[in-house]
Amino acid sequence: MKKEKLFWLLTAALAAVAAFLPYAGNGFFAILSVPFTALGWVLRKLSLAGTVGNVVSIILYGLICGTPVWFWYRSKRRYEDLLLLLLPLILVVVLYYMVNPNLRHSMMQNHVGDAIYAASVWSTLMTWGVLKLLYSDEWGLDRNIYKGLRVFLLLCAASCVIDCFGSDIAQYLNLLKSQIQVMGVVNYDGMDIAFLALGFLVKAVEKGLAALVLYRGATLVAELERDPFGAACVETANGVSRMCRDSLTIICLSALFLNLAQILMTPLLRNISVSINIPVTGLAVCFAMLAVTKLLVKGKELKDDNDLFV
Amino acid sequence: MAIESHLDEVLRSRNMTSKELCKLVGITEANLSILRSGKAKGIRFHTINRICYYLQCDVGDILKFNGQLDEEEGEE
Repeated sequence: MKKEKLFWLLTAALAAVAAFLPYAGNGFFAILSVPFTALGWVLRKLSLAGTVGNVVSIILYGLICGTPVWFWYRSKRRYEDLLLLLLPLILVVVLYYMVNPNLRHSMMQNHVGDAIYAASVWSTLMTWGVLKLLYSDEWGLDRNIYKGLRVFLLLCAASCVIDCFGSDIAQYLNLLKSQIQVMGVVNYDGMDIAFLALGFLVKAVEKGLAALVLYRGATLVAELERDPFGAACVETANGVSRMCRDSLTIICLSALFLNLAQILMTPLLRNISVSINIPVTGLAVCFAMLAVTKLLVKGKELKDDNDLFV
Repeated sequence: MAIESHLDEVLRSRNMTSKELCKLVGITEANLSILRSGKAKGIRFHTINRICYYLQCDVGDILKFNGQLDEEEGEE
């Protein structure tokens, strides 16, 4: 229970941070670019602070970029560890452009560019991590996959929350502010605001439920690792299955409500553009999890049946 | 159950305990008890082969058909 509370508290904190970050297409990606933009800011400040600051900045720059080489040296130096030698090259370029944002290509000079640069580093680290898990000879393959899957599901759950309750809220509020500013306080239209709020609420329901299902999925994977045919695993699977069924119902009904409301409200709206709302993320997550839980329960039934064969 | 197990009788006649038979055949006592109680849904050829070998008997000595049809199949 403690770990669960810690996970949601941390996710909520990151969502709050994402709400204040400049929009980079996705709240989760904005969070991921923070370490690099922060490092870039620090190195830039140091290099502009005089000769001593410049020297410190260069030393720090070298140390940060060279750290993966030290990890490679300490590693078993398998094929996947070669990615640790690629990482310094990537870091050199990424940090250079974080320190000197004006030297970037015009298309990369905004916050989306920050996220793209950061993504190249995280992508390399993620690939190294996944390959390490899959090909490590210290653990059995099943255990690696369960571990990796659990981390992935938790990251996806966090991503849903950070994206929806972090950057999306900020985007909606900015949109609202711009509507009021354009129209002037006198032309403030309650219907536009109501429609925006409704749209956000439906999205929040979809992403919130998807996050809960993903989190419970991670719990299920932990039970699978312990005992795939145990009573606890089957109980968790049944719980996840019920949650998926309820979530699918709520997500579909709320999307239907929004789409019907759009038909009624469109003639009354002044400045808000309408769109078709199909909750693909929520549906995909819930259906996938539902299929897995059904398979698990079926597997347990087959095992019980098999146990009656002497 | 349409197929009845007479394993207990054969064990008594051979003067062997179920524990000894389990050890020889290589199955657990829980598994053997499933067979004895009539709850088994099936038995592998490998297992019945070893039981018959160590008890020096035929399959028909252990498993007998009582002329009935299993309830589950009958309902179909």
